[in-house]
Amino acid sequence: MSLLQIAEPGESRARQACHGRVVGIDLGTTHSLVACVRDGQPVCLPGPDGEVLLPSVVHYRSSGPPLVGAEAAAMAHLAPYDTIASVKRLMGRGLHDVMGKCPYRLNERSESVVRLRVAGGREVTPVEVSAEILRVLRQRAEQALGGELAGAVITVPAYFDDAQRQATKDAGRLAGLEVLRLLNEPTAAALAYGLDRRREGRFAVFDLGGGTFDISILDLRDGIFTVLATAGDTALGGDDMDRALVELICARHPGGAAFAASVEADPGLARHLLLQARQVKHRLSSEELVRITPVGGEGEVQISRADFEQAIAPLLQRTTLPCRRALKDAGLTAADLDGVVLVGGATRVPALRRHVAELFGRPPLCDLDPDQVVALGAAAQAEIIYSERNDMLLVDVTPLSLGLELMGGIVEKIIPRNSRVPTRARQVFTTYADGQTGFDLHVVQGERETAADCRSLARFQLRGIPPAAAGVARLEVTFLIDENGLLHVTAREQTSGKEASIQVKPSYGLTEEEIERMLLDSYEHGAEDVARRQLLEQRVEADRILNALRAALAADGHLLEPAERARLDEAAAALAAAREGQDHRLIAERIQALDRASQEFAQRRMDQSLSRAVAGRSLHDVERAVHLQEPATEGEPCPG
Amino acid sequence: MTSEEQTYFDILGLARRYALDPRELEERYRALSRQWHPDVHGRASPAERVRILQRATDLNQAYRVLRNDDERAAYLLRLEGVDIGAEEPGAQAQVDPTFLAEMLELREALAEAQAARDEQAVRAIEAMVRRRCEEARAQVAAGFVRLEAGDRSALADIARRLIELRYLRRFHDELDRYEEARLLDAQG
Repeated sequence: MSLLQIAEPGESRARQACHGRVVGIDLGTTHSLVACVRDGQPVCLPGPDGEVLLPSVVHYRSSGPPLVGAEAAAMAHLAPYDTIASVKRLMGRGLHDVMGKCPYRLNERSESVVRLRVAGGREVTPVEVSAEILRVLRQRAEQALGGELAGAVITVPAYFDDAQRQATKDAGRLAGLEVLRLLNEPTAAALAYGLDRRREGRFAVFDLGGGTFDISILDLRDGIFTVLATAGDTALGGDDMDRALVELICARHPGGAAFAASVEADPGLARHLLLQARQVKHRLSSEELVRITPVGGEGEVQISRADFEQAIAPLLQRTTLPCRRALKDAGLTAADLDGVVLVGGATRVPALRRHVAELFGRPPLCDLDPDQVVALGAAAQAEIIYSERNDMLLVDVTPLSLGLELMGGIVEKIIPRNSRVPTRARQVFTTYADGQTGFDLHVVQGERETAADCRSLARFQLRGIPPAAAGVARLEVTFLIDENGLLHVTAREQTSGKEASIQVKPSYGLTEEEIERMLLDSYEHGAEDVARRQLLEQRVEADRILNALRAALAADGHLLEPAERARLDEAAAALAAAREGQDHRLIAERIQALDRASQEFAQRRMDQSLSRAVAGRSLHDVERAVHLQEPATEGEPCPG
Repeated sequence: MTSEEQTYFDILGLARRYALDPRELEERYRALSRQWHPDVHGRASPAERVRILQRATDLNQAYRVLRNDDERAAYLLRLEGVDIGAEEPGAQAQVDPTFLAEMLELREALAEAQAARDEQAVRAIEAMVRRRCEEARAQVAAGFVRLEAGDRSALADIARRLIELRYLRRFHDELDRYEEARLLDAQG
């Protein structure tokens, strides 16, 4: 959630400096991976232990930096409250979402952001925990690639809402990554599949990870990957199978109810048992019967594959409805598909494969490693974005409808689910009282008809409307969902043309100030020479902009009047002078000034290139278009 | 040439008329996406990216409206100065009372069938609603043929059918929700 500020100052500054070192990161519930493209082929990068999978576990100590990965996971049963696993389930969530479902110590006064109490009297948010994981992956990639990264594509479940996406992006920033793009996991998987097998056609990607389920229907043709529809459940995954197994183990344990009670009472034991359950799950994929001696009690428990399948049947059933919905939204039936691709570790479970085969009437494809395929696709996408190729393109959709709460708590949908992104909706509001100078707007995401049943995104307060009689002021609010699935909002008063001021109160998540404070803290702890780095970055950015301007002027200088040209030259000279100095703020200011001065020029160049593109139409069409040309029209319906 | 001055048909380089070849729409959309999708401009400056985002959203918006028969029809009417998008209280006046009566009957029939868990009856109602949608769409298409031949009296007919379609779609959504709820029940 943010106001329209896609032009984050200096956002693209680091990109040029790093010679195309870009990566894809799968920030998973149970495991995370980083991949890059080498010799045209995406590959996952191993850690010092030789493993590509980094357990998504962070262990906080009373002093010193936290442990991440296998080392952290080994601490889970000793220090369960200080060892955070499956943090992805907490991203972008509020206290009431996780109360009673979260095995950690929570700050119960923090409503909109989950705060976990860990060793050393510290409190950490899920964004910070995720940032620790990302930092390890960043270091791993920087070592493998021999220098600082220019950017990363981070994957998110397709069904993540705005708050969950924003939290992921914040974690990336906090880890010192330039987030090129948030990419939907099934889309990433489809990209990896499509590139690897050069397949074309319509595919369903069935992605059951540790904590989330996504189903996406894609069309792969001529290098364009179009997501036709997506659906899912952000609280369903392999973790739930582990928990179902724990329940089964407790029920079967010779220790009876006393054993179950002792597990309940001891979080360390519960975590240990959960790990044991996971191993049982893995073994049952190839064995028919598993015997274990559960930790924390005497006696053995036997679990057959049939027992397990019975225990997880309700979980498998929960995937049925999203699949139906996605197919329906795509306007297809299962028979129209050319294949079903399995992604996510949980799709190794044989019962799940049977369930998918039954749902789609065909055996699923699983020839790429379901653990790696998402990271591989993310790396491919990072390379595509960084190299600005247009022979390969992903067109994705927004998973949830965006709506506004109207009087009486009813939701009016303004952007329907499965709209291709980036997309926007414009709504015009008018005042209902004389002299009214403000509005409150409540933005929600979801498919239900009442706001209370949807996910609250934010409350906006619009202020500064010129006082007038009721119904005179007309406030135009634009809701834009960008290519990352993130929402941006702007408001303009139509009669005065003024930008109205908007205050955002995100329902879930961190404020910009909190993120900046965390960033500052991390710089201090990282002992990095921030000023030097900033100066370097601004110089690189200045060079880039000056070069781009020079090239543009050489090509299309004729589009400018002499006076306009003089103003541009002056702004460019000012920037060139600042670039030689030591003040990174001055360079940044002059970059912005030059940017403002060149906006009109850029616009004309784009219009020129568009009219060249349209020139390919037949004369007949052009004549008709000219003939039918009507006065200006407003795109969207305008209530009020 | 700013986005406000262009119609969705202009954006996609299509003739402004109701009849549309979905394949042509798709191909134009794909060609323009290769030009304007933000990922193709991954290294553009922040200010350029704002402008590219604007183009890309215009394109997606145009595609979304034109691809859908009902939305394309409503949009064409709006270009002609007839706005059926706003759900004013007066809008109902344009609807044929016999149509409204029919909808009420259907609704009662559906409530009864659902209460009795008579799936066959529910499916029959669904088939009926689907048929009514198809009829209304055929009438919309016929209306545009008249309109595009210069008969502006067709505007009111088209508007009426589109409003009827809105009722029918809503009805259909309800049937769909019922079906989903039934599936959920079946899951226990």
